[in-house]
Amino acid sequence: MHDQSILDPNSYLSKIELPRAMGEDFSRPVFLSPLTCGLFGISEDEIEDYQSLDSLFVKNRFNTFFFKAAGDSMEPTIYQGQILVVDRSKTHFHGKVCAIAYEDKIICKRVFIRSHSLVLSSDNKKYRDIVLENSDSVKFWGVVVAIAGFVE
Amino acid sequence: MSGKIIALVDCNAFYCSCERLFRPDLLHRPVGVLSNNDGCFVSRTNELKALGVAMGAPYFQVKDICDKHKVAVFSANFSLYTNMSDRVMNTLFHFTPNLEVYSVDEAFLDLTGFDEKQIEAHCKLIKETVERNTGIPVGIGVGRTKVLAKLANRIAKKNPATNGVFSVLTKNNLESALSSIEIGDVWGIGRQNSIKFKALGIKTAKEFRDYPNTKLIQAQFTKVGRMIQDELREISCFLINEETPKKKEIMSSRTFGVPIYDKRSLQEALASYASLACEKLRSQASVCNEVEIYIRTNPFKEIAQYVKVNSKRLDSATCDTRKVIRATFDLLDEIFISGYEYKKVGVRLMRIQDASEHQISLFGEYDTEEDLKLMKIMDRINAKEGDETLKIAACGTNKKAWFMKQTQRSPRYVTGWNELLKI
Repeated sequence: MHDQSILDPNSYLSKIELPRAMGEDFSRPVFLSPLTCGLFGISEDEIEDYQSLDSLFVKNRFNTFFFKAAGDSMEPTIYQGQILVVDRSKTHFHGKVCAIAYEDKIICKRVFIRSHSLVLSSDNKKYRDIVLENSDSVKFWGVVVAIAGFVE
Repeated sequence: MSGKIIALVDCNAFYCSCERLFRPDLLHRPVGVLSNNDGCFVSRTNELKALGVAMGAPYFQVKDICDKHKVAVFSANFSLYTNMSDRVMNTLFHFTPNLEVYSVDEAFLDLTGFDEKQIEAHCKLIKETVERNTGIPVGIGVGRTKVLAKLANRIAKKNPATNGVFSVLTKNNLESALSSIEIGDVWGIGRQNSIKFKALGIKTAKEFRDYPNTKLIQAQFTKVGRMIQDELREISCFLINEETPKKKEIMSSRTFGVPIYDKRSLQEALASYASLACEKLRSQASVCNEVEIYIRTNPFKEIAQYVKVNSKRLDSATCDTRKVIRATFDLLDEIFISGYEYKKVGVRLMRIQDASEHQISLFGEYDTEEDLKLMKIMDRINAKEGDETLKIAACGTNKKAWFMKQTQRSPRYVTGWNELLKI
């Protein structure tokens, strides 16, 4: 039915005779095509997902691991009990807080690469830097890209 | 000659590598992972292999060696391994969409079209990327066919000079590789057949490839044997299946932590394994037509032994846990004898078909809309709230006497929030 009306303009522009007043022609076109009465402009295309912390903090899902922070050596950047989001796919370590396999353990330190040494530094100045002339005893585990935790 | 390029990526001592990733102290120590219930070794690092501990060796037989050499022995932590496997496979997926996940630690990649001169460099990049991004070391073999890729992978693994990447695309590499591989180590041949091959005077992969009497090969080793021979001749017979084929059979079985004597506990175990198997069945949108169970005593113990398998056709194809449990109980009734010390039971679902294409039998009690809805709701609740939140009462409610023994399992580093590693 609609198809037909589109083909023939006269069928949807039919005229209704309205009462005449003051000698004026009151006839107006009437559109027979459907007119939606809801809010305009909302279509399924425009529905987006809720914000998700994953989309912000877990950029590389298959290469991201979580750890729990222990100790106070990285305060005030990281506090004990916070969850560390560690991305293994990152390749730039200099100046970054990293998870590092060092002497049988995985530890969390800020890394500085100097010309002849590697420095594992604690943000808490109570702790001394670890300066390594040779990086054989160190294996990068990943870069800490975010920290998560509850508010006490 | 140019043509297809197939790579096989294989994780080194996969389960052990997963354990090592979170334990840098184990980097140079021998590591082994035990099967369900701490029975046998299912994964060993090179250091453990060097101690002479064989694949599948029962732990109790080699415990002295392990203690003496400070072997780090783990109970299987399957949630860790499946998660790490998923990470490896998805990382590989970045390199080619034509990928077949062949097993938990192996994948075939179709690299056809790459510059062959660059292929080793490219595979090195794949290897480095997987190792950096997931922490799991891998080896890569490259060839014109799956059988050759597998063979090249074996060399990459065994020969340290290859640095974990080996290609048999060039004639030189191919010829030397084929003559160095024993017939029994060719993919799909196996120990059993290698004896028959040796009777024909075939000792290496090369001799098999060059064996002229293909009719005899077909007669002795079926069509598959001929296909393997063709694959060695760089003629591709086994294609890369990008889609994981649906399982034709689903098996669920465990060894008990403690021996079981009574029928009631066996029923609870059967019901639990049947539930697991049916859940898998539904997850691949299939139904089964036949159910098999088996029960057995502990073969390693000097006690009266009893092993029995029993199976039956169902009246109609089903994926309803309740009907399968009922079938397993009927089967148990027929074979259970009291007085034995039972150590293991299993449930196998067979004659599996797509739920959409199964034939409805005329008289059978097929799954109704309501049955299916109930199963769907049960699966959804269990997926959301954790396994066995909702279960069939026949599975029992006691803290499972028959539950798995896992005395040395590592934490759920990647699947639980309460077991995160502290650093």
